[in-house]
Order: sequence, then structure tokens, then C-alpha cells
Amino acid sequence: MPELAKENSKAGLEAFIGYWFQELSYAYETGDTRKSLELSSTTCALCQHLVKSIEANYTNGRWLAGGAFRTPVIEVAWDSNMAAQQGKLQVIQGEIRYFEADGSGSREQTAATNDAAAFFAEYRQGSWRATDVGIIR
Amino acid sequence: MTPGWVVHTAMASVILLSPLTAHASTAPVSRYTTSPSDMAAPPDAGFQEGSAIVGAIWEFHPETGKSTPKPGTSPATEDPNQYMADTHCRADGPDTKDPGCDALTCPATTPGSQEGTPVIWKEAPKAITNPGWTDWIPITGPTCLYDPEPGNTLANIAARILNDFRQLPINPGTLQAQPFPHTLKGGPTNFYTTATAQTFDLTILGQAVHLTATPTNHTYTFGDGTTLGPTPATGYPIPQTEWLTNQTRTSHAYTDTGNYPATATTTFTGTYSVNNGPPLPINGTLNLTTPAITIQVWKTQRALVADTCDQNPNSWGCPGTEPG
Repeated sequence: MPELAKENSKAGLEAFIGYWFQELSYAYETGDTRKSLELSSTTCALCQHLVKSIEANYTNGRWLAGGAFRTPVIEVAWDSNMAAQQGKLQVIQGEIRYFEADGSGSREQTAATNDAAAFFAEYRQGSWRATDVGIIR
Repeated sequence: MTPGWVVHTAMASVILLSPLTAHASTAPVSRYTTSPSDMAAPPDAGFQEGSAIVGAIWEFHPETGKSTPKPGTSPATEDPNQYMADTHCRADGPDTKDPGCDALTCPATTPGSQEGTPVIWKEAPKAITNPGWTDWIPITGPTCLYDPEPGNTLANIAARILNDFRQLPINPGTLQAQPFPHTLKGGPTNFYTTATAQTFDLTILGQAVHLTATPTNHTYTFGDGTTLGPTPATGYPIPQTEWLTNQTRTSHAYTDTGNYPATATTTFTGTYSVNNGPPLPINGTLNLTTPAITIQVWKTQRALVADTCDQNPNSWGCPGTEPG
């Protein structure tokens, strides 16, 4: 994790949000969701859902291609009166293709997406944790 | 194990409870399983699709720079956790009793009533049906729980908390308008409410209950037959230079002159905690309306005049003259 992402500050949280999406990209690429789980609270329904969905696509020899994230703009609305902080960002996710162990497609692919997202986090015991994430509509 | 631990075990019991049993829907996290027998088509793993499935959809408010759950889309308000008051006071590990529990005394709160029991509150995701050691995470330090059967008391409090919540003297705040009390026909009059989160310390069934009421939505009634909302926008004051020119999310333009009683109705949601336990959601809301303020809508008239009011105090439009 970048040193900045460990800081309890506006810049620290912005770095953390970028890192959080990098770790999630890694989970899509490898099926290893441990780090993403570690950085996410159990209250985050989308975090838990994505982890379960990725894991389900890495069972029985299945695998995923694509799904990597880019987060070109991250803005945190820092509120020093609050323990919980929030920010908004642009989330671009590459197309996802799904494969069975034999290389055949296991389901229709998911097209690339480009969304505004809200990101909620809390700093506890020296590190950030995502408490909620979702798209802005 | 220490002798003290054995004694404590003999007298203690672990109480499992669900904070509010009204939520019966399946938690989104358990929608997919990864068992080896799962041969059905695998789930979509997209970020956007996932947000729609779990209802993680937000609305951004430029005036506050913050996002709130989009009304009607978020099942995320359901508490994903289950709670337990651990009377063994185990902080971490099965055999380590938190020393704070031995130091903590829980004397009876009223003469003749029962002493309390030191407990540590723990939470675990509801998705885990039978949480084990490592799943229960302590969320409080040692604290007192009063009742020989705390589980019953908590269920009884849960059953009546909404009723108690609705009878609290919660301040609905006031509705403010800019400009006020006189505004102009056709110009955007800026409205905002001053409702804020409020906390109450109550005693319910002999337990100390800390309750927080949070404003979530507002409905503005402008008095001329139009309303705005419900919306999470509380509005905000704007500088005088922007009055009647700057349109805000909560402004309103009156189409006719006259006097209009305007109010704002605020929906409050609540959480409560029993004896410093974890905050639990109250399954219901409370609507409160501000006292009406009278908006006097005027119109402007222009005329060309020859003199200033200093030169001719009786000139058209000068203070003290009848508008003609």
C-alpha cells in the first residue's frame, strides 16, 4: 500500500480509494479477494457482493478476463468533524469476459462501464476501510 | 483456565439476539454461493451491475458536496450485522477475559432492583448463520447490562421503541426564506430548513436508552398549492447579493402576489442503543412539520420620476406616499 494511503487525511483517503480499486482489479485478475476483503467493512454490501461474484467466477476451474478499473478523478469531501468520510470518483471498468475451465465462455460478457461513484470510508486503528460504495445516479 | 474464569462461566450465559426482526429479506451478500456443486451459470461480476443488484445507488448534492442513498433504491439501510452481549467479557481469544469487566461494578439503578452484569457487545455479519469465535468482533468495552434475562428486555424495547420515538419532543426546526417576509412575484425565493440530528437519553423498562433522531427527507409546502419533495435537500442560506436571482434546489417562484403560509415537513429516522450497546435501527419514521411562516409576495412597479426623494418627498414611490 502506498504510504500516503495510510494517512488519516484528505490526500490519504484519496490515495486509499485509488489503491482500493487497484486491489479490486487484482481480485478480478487472480480470483484472490483476500486483500479486497481486508480493506472493506462487512457493512459494504457492494464490496461483499463483488467479492462473492468474483469468487464464484473462480470456482470449478472458471476464470475471468478483464474487469480492471481506472479511477481518473477522485475527490474527497473532507469533514474534520466526522469520523466517517466520503468522496466521489469516476470509475471506469473494462469489459469482463467469463470462461469455463475448458476455455469456453461461461456466460455473456459484461460491457465496459463508466460511472460516477460514491465512496464511504472510516479510519480505525491506523487504517482506512471502505464502509460503503456505490454508483451515483 | 484460571479459577476466576470457571466461576464466571458457571453464572454466565450468552444471549443471541437480532436487533429488529422485521427485516426478513435475504442479505445481498448471500445471494451467490461458491459451493463445488454450483454448476449454474456464474454471476455477473460488473461494478455497475453489482451496484444495481445490491441497490448501492447514491444521489450527489452539489451544495453539500456529499452523497446520500437514492430514495427507494437502497436496501443497504438494513443492518447487515447480528449482535451479542458476551457475558464472558472475552476481549480476544476464547480464554482471555477483559480485565475491565472485573473492575466494572454494575450496582442496581433503583433501590431493590437487580444488579447489572458486565458484558462486551459483539457483532458478526448476518450472512454467517452460526458465528464462531473469530466471527464475533467486539464493538464496545466492558459495559453494564441490567436484567436477569437481557434478551427479553431488548426484544421488549425493540417492540416499543418506535412508539417511544414518535412521542419524543423532537425539534422540527424552522423553515427559513430569503428574502423574508417580503419577496417578489416571479423571483426565486430561497427556502431552507434548520432541522438537525438530535439525541435523547431515556429510561425504557429500566434500561438506559440513548436515541438519535436524524432528519433524512424534507417536503416543502409553499402555501400556494405547490410542494417540493420529499427530498434529502435541507437547502442552505445564500448571500443577500444572490437573493431573487440564484435558483437553488429548494427555491420557489410564486406566480401571484399574496400572503402564503409556508411549512417544511421533515422525516426523521432513528437509532437507539441500550446500556451503551451498539446502535440499532428503529424500523419506522417520524414526520414533523415546522410552524408556518407567512410569505408576503409583492410585485414591483417602475416609473420615471423627475426628482429625488430629497428634492421632493411627495414624489412617486418615496417613503410615505401611496403607490400610484
